[in-house]
Amino acid sequence: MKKVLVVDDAAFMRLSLRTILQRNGYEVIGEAANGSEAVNKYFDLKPDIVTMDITMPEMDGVEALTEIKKKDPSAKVIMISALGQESWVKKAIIYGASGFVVKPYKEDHIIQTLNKL
Amino acid sequence: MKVEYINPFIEASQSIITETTGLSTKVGKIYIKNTPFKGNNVVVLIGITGSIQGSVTLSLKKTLTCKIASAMMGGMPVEELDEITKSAVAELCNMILGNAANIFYKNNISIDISPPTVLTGENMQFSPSKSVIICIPLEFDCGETMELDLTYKEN
Repeated sequence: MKKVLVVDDAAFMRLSLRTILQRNGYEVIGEAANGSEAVNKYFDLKPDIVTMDITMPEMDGVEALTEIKKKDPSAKVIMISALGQESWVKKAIIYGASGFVVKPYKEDHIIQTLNKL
Repeated sequence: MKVEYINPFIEASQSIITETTGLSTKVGKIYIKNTPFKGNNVVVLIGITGSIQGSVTLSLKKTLTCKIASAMMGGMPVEELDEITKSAVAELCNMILGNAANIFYKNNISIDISPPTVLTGENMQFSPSKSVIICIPLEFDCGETMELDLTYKEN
């Protein structure tokens, strides 16, 4: 079972994603509420996949992605964000995101995106 | 009042509310508010920067907040403003602003948004300095209204 770290500043989103992922055969091994916590937890817990929000306090998701990829270039990070402009998607892919899902998302789309990794 | 600033918020809020809750809304009469302006029991505040410098507050009663959170959680009963309920409505506002930012982007206006802050209480007043305040009322079928107040500095 693939292990996932769920990162979003909204408790509601973390709960929603946790429910969807567990229902579809993924194990949620941790959660983080900002980018800084996400980087620390990534290297503590060593998940197979990270789902990463962008707009968060302390450190945003693209910065956290960059920090994670610096030390682990093989990290698989899927951005899940309300910001769906082409500029943000391009930026995330350039910094190494493995995919990008725009909120509000459909359960099928999240799972298909993770299944492809 | 910049008309081109208003339509993205109308389009984003109506489509996101319907998509995430199944509830539909009508836009009430849009008007300029004076400062200080009042908030309802629950207010979600999101800052905007970039081509528009200001903020958006979404203001609604506790009863509507619980209805919206319930709809976002697949109809699960919601009676109280607990942390998940507040987080749900904050996330709704985050998605509205994110979607609005995307519409602005397609119209060559670039904005960035802050994480949401949820405020709860009675008799809240907001006093933005040197700003225009445009109120977009969103009327739900149940008879309740959510007010989207766009505050920005005129150039």
